[in-house]
Amino acid sequence: MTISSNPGRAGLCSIAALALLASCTQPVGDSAEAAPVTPQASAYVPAAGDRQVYFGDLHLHTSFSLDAAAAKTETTPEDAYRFARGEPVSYLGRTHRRHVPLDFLAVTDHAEFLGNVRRAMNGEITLPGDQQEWQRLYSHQGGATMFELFGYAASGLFGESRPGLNDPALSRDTWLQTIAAAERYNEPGRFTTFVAFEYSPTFRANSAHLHRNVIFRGPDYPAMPFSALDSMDHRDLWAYAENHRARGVESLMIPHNANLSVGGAFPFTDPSSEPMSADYAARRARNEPLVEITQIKGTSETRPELSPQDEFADFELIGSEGDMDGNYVRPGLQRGMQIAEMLGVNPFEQGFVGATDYHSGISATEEDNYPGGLGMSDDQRNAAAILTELSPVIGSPLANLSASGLTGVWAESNTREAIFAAFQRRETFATSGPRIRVRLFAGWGEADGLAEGGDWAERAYRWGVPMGGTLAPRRADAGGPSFVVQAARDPRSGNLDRVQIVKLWREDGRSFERIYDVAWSPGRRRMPDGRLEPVGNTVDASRATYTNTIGAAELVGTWQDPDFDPGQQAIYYARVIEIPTPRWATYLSVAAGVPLSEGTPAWLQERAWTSPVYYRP
Amino acid sequence: MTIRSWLKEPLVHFLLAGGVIFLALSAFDHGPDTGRTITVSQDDLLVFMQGRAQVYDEETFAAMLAEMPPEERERLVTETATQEALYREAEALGLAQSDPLIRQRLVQQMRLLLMEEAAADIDVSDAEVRAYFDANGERYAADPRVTFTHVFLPPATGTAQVEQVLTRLQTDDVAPGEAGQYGARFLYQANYADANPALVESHFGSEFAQALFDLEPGTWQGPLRSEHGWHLVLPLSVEGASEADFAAIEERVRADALADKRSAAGQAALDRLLDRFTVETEGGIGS
Repeated sequence: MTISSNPGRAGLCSIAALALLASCTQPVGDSAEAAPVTPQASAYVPAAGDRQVYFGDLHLHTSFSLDAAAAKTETTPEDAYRFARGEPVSYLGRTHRRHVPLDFLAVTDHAEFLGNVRRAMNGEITLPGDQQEWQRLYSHQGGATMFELFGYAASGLFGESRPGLNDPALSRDTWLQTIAAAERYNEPGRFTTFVAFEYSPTFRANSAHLHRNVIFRGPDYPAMPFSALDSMDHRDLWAYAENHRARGVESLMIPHNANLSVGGAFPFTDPSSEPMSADYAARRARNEPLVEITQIKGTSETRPELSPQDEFADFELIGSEGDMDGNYVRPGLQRGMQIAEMLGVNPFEQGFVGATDYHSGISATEEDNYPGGLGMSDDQRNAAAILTELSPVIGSPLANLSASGLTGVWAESNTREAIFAAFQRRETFATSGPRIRVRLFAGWGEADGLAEGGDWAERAYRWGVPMGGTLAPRRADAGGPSFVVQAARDPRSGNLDRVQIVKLWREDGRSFERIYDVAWSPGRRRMPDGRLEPVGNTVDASRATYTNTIGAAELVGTWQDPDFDPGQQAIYYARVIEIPTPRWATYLSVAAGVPLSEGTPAWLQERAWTSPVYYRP
Repeated sequence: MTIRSWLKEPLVHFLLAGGVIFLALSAFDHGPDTGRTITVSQDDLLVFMQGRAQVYDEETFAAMLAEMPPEERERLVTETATQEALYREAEALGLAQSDPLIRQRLVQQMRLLLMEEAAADIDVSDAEVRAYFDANGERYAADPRVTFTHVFLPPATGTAQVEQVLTRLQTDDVAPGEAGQYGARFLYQANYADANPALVESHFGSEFAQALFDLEPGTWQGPLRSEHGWHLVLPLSVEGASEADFAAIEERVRADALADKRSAAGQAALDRLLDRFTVETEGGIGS
């Protein structure tokens, strides 16, 4: 059965099933009112190739999620959309508002026990057992008592049922509310919402997260989300998505927190521990065109141990365990090429997105306007605890969590259709929170001068492929592929330090990476070791300030791969680095008068990662 | 029909309420009152299968049932009948009265029924919609918005050259989609659709933004100066700050007014329900 927001498609069946837990397939009911799914008439006439950039968050929890509710977050999806659109919203007793609104948002509440921990804490569900004991847990003020409640509530993530919480009839009601909120706040041309949920299987044996966000294009949706209680094997999630896709319900799945996957994000094997088959690889590539590279629980691009030559590898990391190559996106992309050599299919041919994964319902990614993201777990009224106490969750102070990140897309208009199409063609980039803009085009032959002129992007689209694309077959006389990249700073954040191209390739059965600086702010030279002079640092940690007296507002560069072997697979993505600016914890430290702990950096170099361009021989 | 609108559809509420009652009655209607006959129909099997799988897709399960080997189907009948028998025994023992989970479910369903029923007949008049708009106008007030394209010229460009480009744009009446070739690359966008002052300010500075919102749309004009250089501007539409145009958003206001009125009616129904009871307290807990 399908839930539809279109006329005459199973509407009454759906609502009846909510109450009866029965099912019907006869489409019943109609209405004269049409869904507002087409862009409103506007005077805007986009130039050819002039896709616009839109920024949004594709991973956000509200009190409908079991853990967010247990942490006393009270926001709903409606609050989440209002906040993203720039309206003030109350969270943990204080009112918050984004400096700059978002353009799109997907609320991705955990499918497991959807809505029911909130219900239990509101007294709408009576959990079995000693009611006084429940009241004691519900009335926690964070700390150990909260973790006791987590212990019960989070069992759904492990695929374990709990009496009272596993109640599909009630969860279905919550799912309908989730859909209704998205439909209510979707405003074509101004603000786009996506109906979504998070599938969250977590494994007791090693705490591995193999979570995926499922984002629907709309306007039709499944009757229920798919949870770890349905299956812990993500192939079953794919089957759910494929079955619905065959009926016109389009979706894509975004894996995230590779860093917490204990090697499982980019494996050589399938979930049954069998060597990966071509069928598995193809299904993965088809269902999961994007991967989340940064969020509150750390950035998953790479680590210094994996990329010793990358001077910017040590960025917003938290602890990782297990097979490190399976835990990070960069070695994961290399592994994808390796698997493609064996199977003929690259399972990990993915574009990049950034998201928050906040459990607050408010997507607040601005370092100077960050109220915490995990409910009572990181309530900033306990500034001293956040800044100094070791958290059992991440093994360091919660100050080391990230106010990250966002997804940028290049799309014709701010509508579901246009943005979802951009997801599918991977014309996306991730940022660690600021609205850094970046364009990347790749093609064959001369790229110098391509970035000049007000119509440069239009010409660039005709010349090559944008980020996320696959290079066209190479002419026999062409050299290495050429790239043109343009980046502009977030007007509310730091200037830009440099733009780099990260190249990953295969050679003689081994994987390699190399990083090239292709554009940087004026007046800097290469040092004797070949590296670029650092941009400098204006951060005053004692006052949480910086100045845009260094760096550049815009960087433009072209680059041609000098060591290209047309017989080998290669992957290229651009990385844009900002000048140093204060981290959110530095603002908190100054406001609270509590010093940062050793091990919590006072500043960071925010950044953007474009989706890779792929080359196949 | 949007989800939002059918969630509010009185007919839906009516059918929903009717459906619940029908199901409740039909649960006891499977045979004689002695309850010693359990009749299992194809529909019963489908409901059972879907409930067990927690997947609601009758088409798929009907196909599965049609292809099921006889012995498996027999097992399914037995399981369905067992479930029904257990249900009847539980009813006979009055388990529903003593189980807090079931009690809670009944309370929930009754609350839903009561509130939906109270909201079912409610509609809002045009006058009420207008009054709601007047009382909540600030929720619908619109930012100023501008749609424009611009040709960017770097700060070092001479005044004469800027004028020359402007004249060409005006003389040739250059369309927005063709304008890029007349200027240099701008770090942000060439075209802005429905941009509010905050966005324009962040990309061009506040002086530019102020000047831009004062322009008459329709022709190439300028140059306007920004922190980046010179801009020749073609405004396509400029809308000042306004109270929302009621006619344009009437349906949205109607939906909001209706939602508010329904929720108030639901609460009132709960209050009326409680009024039918006398609530007494024991042991001094009420004071």
